[in-house]
Amino acid sequence: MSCTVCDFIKAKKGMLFEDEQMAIMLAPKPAVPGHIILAPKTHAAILEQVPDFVIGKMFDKANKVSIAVFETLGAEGTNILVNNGIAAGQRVNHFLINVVPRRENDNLSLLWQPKQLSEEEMSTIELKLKEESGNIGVFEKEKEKPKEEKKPEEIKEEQEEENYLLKQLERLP
Amino acid sequence: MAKEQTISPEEAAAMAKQQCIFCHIAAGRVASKKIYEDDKVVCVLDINPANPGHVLIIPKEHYVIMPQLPEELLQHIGMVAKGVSLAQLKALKAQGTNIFVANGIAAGQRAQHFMMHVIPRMEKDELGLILPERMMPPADAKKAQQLLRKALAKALGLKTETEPEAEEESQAPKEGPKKKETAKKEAKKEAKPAEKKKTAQKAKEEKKPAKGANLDDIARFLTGG
Repeated sequence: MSCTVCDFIKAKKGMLFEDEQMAIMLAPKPAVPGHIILAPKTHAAILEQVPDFVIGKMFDKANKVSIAVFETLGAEGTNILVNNGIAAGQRVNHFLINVVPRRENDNLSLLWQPKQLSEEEMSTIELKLKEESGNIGVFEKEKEKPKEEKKPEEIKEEQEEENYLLKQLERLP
Repeated sequence: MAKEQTISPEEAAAMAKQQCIFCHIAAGRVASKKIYEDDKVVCVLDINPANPGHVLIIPKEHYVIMPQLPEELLQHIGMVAKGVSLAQLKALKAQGTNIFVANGIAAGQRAQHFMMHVIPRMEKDELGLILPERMMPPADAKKAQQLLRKALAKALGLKTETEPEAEEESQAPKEGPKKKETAKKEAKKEAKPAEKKKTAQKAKEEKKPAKGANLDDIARFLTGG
C-alpha cells in the first residue's frame, strides 16, 4: 500500500532534518507558514504502532523544532498537535506530530468548548482509566531485550488488541 | 525603595511555584482525579474537559514553557502520552485521540505550568482541533526551508545540517545538543566516549544558569507572566 508521507520522506521534499528513525519536514499543506511535521521513518499508521522510544525522541525533537520556530519565524507561540485516528482529525495514513507556529490574531482556532461533567461521571471515568493505566509507565526500550517481562501469551494478546485498534482507527479513504 | 527590587529572581521563581495550582496538584496538596503517577509526572483528569476522559500530563517540576523542559523529561512525557492514549482507547472505547500542547499565550496557553493534553475523540464530536490545509508559494516554502534547516540544526546542536553521527550520540541519555558545542574543546582531550559524556554533562551544568535565565525571559514573554 502506498503512503503519501512515506513518498514524501523518500523524495526529501521540504526536508529539514532526518535520522534513522524520523523525518522532520515542512508540511506540504501548511495550516500557517512554517507548519512542520515530524514522521517516523518506519511506516506506522497510528501512535500505538510507533515504538515508545521513537515516540519519546519525536516529542523531544518537536520541542527543538518549536525552539527553531521561535528563533527563525518570530512566532509568539507554538502548538504541538497529534491527530490520532480519523475521529481525531487524522487525514493521512501515517502517524505525524504537527508543530504549528502561532501569532496573536492568526485566525487559527485550536481551542475547544469545555464540557461540564458531574462528579459521578468524572469518578466513573477515573475508575475506567485507572483500570487500563497499568502499562502507562512501562516503556519499550531500544535494542536491549524489549520484551523481557512479557510472557508469550501476553504478547499475542497485545497483538490482537493492536489489530483491533487498527481496524477501529485506520478506516481511511 | 520599591519593594520588588528586593526580590531576587530565585525568590520570584519560588513565589511563582508556591502560587502554581498545578504544582499543588502534582504534589497532591490539591485534590485531583489521578490516573497515573511516577517520579516525574502526574496524569489527572481535566476538570474542564474537551471530552470526557481528557487527561493532563503535568510534570512535577515547575516549568512554564516547553523549551525549558530537559530532553529526558520531554521524552518521558511523550511516552506517557502514548500510554494514556492507549488507555483511553481501551477504557473509554474512544475512536481516536489528540495530543495537544499550547506553548505561549498566542497558542492558547492559560496556565503558568507546562502540561500536555491527551483527549479521547469520538466521531462527530465536533471538538475541532483540525488544522486547515493551505498552499504555500514554492518560493516562500523554499525560503522557510532554508531558514528552518539552519535554526533546527542549531537547536539540535549539530555542527552541519546533516550529521547523523551526532544524532546517534543523542540516543544516550542526556547527550543533548547545546552543551556539546561548549563541551567540544574539553571533550577533545578525552579519549573515551564515556569520559566525553561526563564532560558534556558538566559543561551543561555550568551553562545552565545563563540559559535558564534566557528561557525564563522567553517564558515571561510568551505567557505574559
